[in-house]
Amino acid sequence: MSEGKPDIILTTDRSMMTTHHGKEFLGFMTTGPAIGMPERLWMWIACPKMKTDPAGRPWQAPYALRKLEALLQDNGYNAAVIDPDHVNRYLADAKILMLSHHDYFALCPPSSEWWVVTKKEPVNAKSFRRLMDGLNLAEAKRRGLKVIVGGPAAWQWLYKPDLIERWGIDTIVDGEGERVVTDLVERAYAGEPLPKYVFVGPGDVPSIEEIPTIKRPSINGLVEIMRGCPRGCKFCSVTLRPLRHIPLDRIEKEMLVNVEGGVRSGILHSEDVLLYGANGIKLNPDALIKLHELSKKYWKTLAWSHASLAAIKLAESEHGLIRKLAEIICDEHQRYWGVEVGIETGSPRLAKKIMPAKAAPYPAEKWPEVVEEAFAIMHDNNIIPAATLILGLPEETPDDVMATAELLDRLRPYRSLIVPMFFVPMGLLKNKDWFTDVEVRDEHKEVMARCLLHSLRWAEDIVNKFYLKGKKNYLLKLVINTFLKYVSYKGGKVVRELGIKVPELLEKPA
Amino acid sequence: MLSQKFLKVWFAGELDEKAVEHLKRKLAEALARRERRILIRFYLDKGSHETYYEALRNILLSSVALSIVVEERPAYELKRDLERASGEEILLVLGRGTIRPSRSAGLVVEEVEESCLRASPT
Repeated sequence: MSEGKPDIILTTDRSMMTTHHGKEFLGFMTTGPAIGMPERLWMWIACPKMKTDPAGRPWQAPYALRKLEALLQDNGYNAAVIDPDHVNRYLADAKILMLSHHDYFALCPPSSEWWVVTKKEPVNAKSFRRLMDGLNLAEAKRRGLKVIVGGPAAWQWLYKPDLIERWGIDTIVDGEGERVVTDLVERAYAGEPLPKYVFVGPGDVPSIEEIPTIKRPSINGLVEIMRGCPRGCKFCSVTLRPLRHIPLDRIEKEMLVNVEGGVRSGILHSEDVLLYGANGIKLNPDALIKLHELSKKYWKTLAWSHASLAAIKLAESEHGLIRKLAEIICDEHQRYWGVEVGIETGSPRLAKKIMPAKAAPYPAEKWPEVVEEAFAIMHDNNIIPAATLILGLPEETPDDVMATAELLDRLRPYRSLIVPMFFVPMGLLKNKDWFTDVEVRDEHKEVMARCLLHSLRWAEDIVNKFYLKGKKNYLLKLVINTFLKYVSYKGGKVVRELGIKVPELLEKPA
Repeated sequence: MLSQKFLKVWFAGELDEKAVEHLKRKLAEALARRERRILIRFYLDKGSHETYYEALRNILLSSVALSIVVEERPAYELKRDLERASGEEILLVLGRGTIRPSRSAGLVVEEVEESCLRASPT
C-alpha cells in the first residue's frame, strides 16, 4: 500500500493467511475437520493468526497474492495484501477485491478425502465461508466494488453458482494470471463489463521477464524457482504449461525481500526442485548446488516444496547429489529438510497408463522400485517426505490397489508421512452432498488403514526428534502428541472394527 | 491478454445438451485451426443458474489447450450488440427459442438444430 487506503485489496482466509507456526506440514491440518479437539484449538495449531502492521498488512502472505501485489504495484496501482481480519476497514473505499485460495470449498484432495471419510466439512472451507459472510460485501457491491477470484482452486467456483450470486463474484480467473490481471483491473477502473470467467491457456502464460518479483515476505519464505513440469501425468494440469526456470539473480532478490522482512528460513518452490536448471529431465547438478549454496547464504533453514521420486533416485545414484546437497543444507541450524513427493500408485500397470514419464529415466514398470529406492535415499539423508497417493482413479482395478498396499509395506522402514488422496470424479461435485456418493471400496479402506498406521508410526518420531525439537515448541508439541495418541487410539479401533489385518504396523520405529 | 485476437463466438437461446455439444465442437474446431484464444459470449435469459453452470462446466472442461474467455450479457442486448459489432468477425450460434437476427457484415450464423456444417452468412 503505497499511501492511504488500497484501491485493490488482495486477501484470503485464515487457513491460508498464516505461518502454520513456521511448520508447513501443519498446514495439512487445515484440509481436515477438527478431530478430537475444539475447532478453535485445531485452527490455532494449523493456522494461527498472522502478525500484521497497524494498517492490517500481514507480515507474510501467500506467494500468489504477493506476486499479484507486486504486479499491480509495478503497473502503478494502489494495491495491497490485507489480512482477512482487517479487510472490512478498507472495503467501503476499495474498487476491487481479489481473492486467491488453494481450496476454497475443500473439493481438492486431501480436503475432499477427509470430507468423504469423516462426513464433516474441513476447516479450510468453513474458514473461507466465515471470511466471505463476515465482509460487508453487499454495501461495497452497491457502490461498485468488483470481486475477482483466482488461484489453483478457481475452477471450484463453477460448482458454486449460488455462492457466485450470493457474494457477487464478477470474474473467475483460472491459470497463471500475470497477463490478464492488469487487463481486468483496467476494465474495472474504466467501468467496462468484466468477463465472467477467464482460463489462461498454455499459450498465454507469462515469460520469465513478465513474472514480477515479490516486494514483501511470502509465507515461510517461499520462493518460486520454476514453473511447469515436463512429466506429463494425466491427473495434473501443471504439466500443460511450458517449463520456465527462474534465473538465480531473480531468486536471490526474493530471498532478500524475505530476509529483510525478518523471514530467515525459506521454501524452494517447484513441481520438482531437482529439475531446476535441467534440460528436460536431465539433471543439472551444478545449477542445483549453486541454488542451494545461495539459499543457505540467506536462510538458516530451507525446505523443498516438491520433488519427484525418480529425480531423487537419479540425483543420488548418478551424481551423489543428494548427499552433496545434504552437506550444504544440514548444519548447526538444520539437521533435516521436508518435501512433498507423489507416490500416486504402487501399480506399474497404472503408472504406465496415467503417469508414463513419472519414473523417467527409469521405465514405468520399475516404478515401485524407484519409489522404494528414493525413500531409502531420503531416509539416509534426513529428508522427511510427506508423500501422497491417489485412490479411486478411473482405470484403477482391485489389483492395482493391492499393489499399492504391498508397496506401503515395503516403505515401512523409511521415515515419512503418507497421505492417501481420493480421486473424486468431477461429475459428483455438482451435488451438495457429493461426499456421501463417493464409493470407497474395501481395498481402498485397506490402503487408507496402512497409510494411517504408517504415518502414526513415524509421526511421533518426526515431531519429537526433528520437527518440534527444543523447548520453544513445548506447548505445540504437547498438543500434537496428545492428538496423535487420540488418533492412534481411534484409528486402531476403526482398523480392528473393519477387520483389516495390517502386519504389526503399530510398533514404534527403532 | 484480453486485447489480443480472439475467435469470437456468441450464443443466444436455450443452452441445452445439443447447444453444449455444438459449442464444444466450436472449441475443437478452433484448436484444430490453431487458434490460441476463444471468447464465448452468452446472451442469457433469466433462468436457472444451476443449469447454465452445468452447461458451462461441460463446455469449459472440453479444452485446456486454448485460452477461454466467457462473457455474459442479458438476452435483450443481443440486437444492440450486433449493430455495434457490425464488421467484426463473429460466429453467432443460435440455440432453441431465438429468432435469427437481421443481416450484419462479418456475422456468421449457425443454428444448433442444424448440422454444424451448415453455417451461413446472413
